[in-house]
Amino acid sequence: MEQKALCANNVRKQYKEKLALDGVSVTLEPGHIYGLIGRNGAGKTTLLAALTAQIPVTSGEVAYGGEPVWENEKALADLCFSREIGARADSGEAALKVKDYLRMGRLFYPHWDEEYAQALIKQFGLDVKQKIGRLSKGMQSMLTIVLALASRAPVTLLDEPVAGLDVVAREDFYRLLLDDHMATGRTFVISTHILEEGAAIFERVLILKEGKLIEDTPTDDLLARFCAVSGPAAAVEAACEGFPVLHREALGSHASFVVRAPAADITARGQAVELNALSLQKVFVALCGHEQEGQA
Amino acid sequence: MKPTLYFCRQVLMYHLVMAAAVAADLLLVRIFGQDSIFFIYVNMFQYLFIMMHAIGTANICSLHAKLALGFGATRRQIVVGYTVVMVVSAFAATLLSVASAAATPLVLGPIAEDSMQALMGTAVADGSLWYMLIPMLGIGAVFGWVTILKNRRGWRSVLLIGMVMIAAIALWLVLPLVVLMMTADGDSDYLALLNIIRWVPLVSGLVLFAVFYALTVRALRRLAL
Repeated sequence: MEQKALCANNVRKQYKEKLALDGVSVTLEPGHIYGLIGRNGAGKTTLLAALTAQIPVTSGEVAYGGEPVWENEKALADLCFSREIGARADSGEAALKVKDYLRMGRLFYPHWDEEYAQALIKQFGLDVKQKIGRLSKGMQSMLTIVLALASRAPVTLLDEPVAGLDVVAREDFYRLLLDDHMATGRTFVISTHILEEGAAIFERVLILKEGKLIEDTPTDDLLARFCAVSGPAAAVEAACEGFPVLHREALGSHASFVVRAPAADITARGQAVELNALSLQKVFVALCGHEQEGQA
Repeated sequence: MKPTLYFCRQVLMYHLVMAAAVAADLLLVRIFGQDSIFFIYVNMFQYLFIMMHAIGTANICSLHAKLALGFGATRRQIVVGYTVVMVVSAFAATLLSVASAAATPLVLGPIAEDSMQALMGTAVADGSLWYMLIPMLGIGAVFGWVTILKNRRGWRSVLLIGMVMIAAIALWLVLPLVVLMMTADGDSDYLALLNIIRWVPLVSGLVLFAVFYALTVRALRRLAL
């Protein structure tokens, strides 16, 4: 499988009053698993749609292997954008049967793996004769997962693939994704709000906030840049002085800060404080939550 | 090529189902006789094929074009697919109408001369196939565009456009009558009127096709999910 990078260069997307993407530049290197996170309305789906030429961009360019993606049959044959079905009620997918939806995958995706698709359908217990609109939210998510994985597209983008899935199904999905990634080296971009399981899978994290890409960092590096500092209020204040504090909590004489600084830098101050690493979810909340506005 | 194949399968399926229904109806009339309820549908065959063509084209423009885009088709591929399938579907609907008109007397024996099937048979004998094919293309283009408009702006704009179109067509149909009434002087004018009205489906079909095909292609080129 030929590996090419998918790049967005200063992409802007304006919807009437709303600026959905504001100068986003990102390079999706081949062979990585990216996590795309952001609050509702941050522009995640718009970015994925722009990367796969499903919407025109207002300005900027999206290229795959150096070639523009827009109206490029060759480039689009290598990309699969598996969207959340519920979000596309107007497109009428609900009226299709599962088998018709999968037949489209077979027809449109040149790398389609029918054997793998059948195995996944069996594993997820999907009824191929059922209409998509009659499937539960979780089953619809499973269908989008089958489509994305069986497409075998070198670059596969999944929008909210785990929405509606229970924790067991989510773990199954991430295991399948990892197995596939290890076997094929495909690039995956996964947009999600559920970060607990994803954090261990994502090699890089892309964080969108109000249409701007505020982070494009290896997950471990991102987590290492933040820590939670707690202890006596005065000691915490002294330990964190000069570092951007993203979240503050006070409880009597005790304080707890989320700070944008490596733990080693805080330790070097020699204050009697307790340091804790942050989960990706906590980092995300610290970066995008309301409470840090004006403080970072 | 992929969207063309996909669209073809979706639209031609409608025609096949309708052809099967028509054959079944002819068989039922053959069994139960021309005074049975099944004979009513014999006069509707042409309209049924037109309806299938219109619904098929509308579905391509509203549902299947978007699905194809979601599966990675380019807008160029979608426009080519739509064009090919619209023309193929119009031909299929016309040919099936003609075939049903030809098959009806063969299956049922002589039928009333003023029935739709008999008139169709006469039109075929006159070589007037274009008078059916061209309006068929126009109808397909209108239905395609209307569904796009409905998806974009809702039914209210469709109603508005529909009323304007009906008014325009009514005016166009009435205008020759008005001209004739103002200059009427005997039977020769009746023939002149017939000659004018004979062109109405052909010209209106061409105009509708040109206008609404252009609008549909423009919309499909800007398709977004």
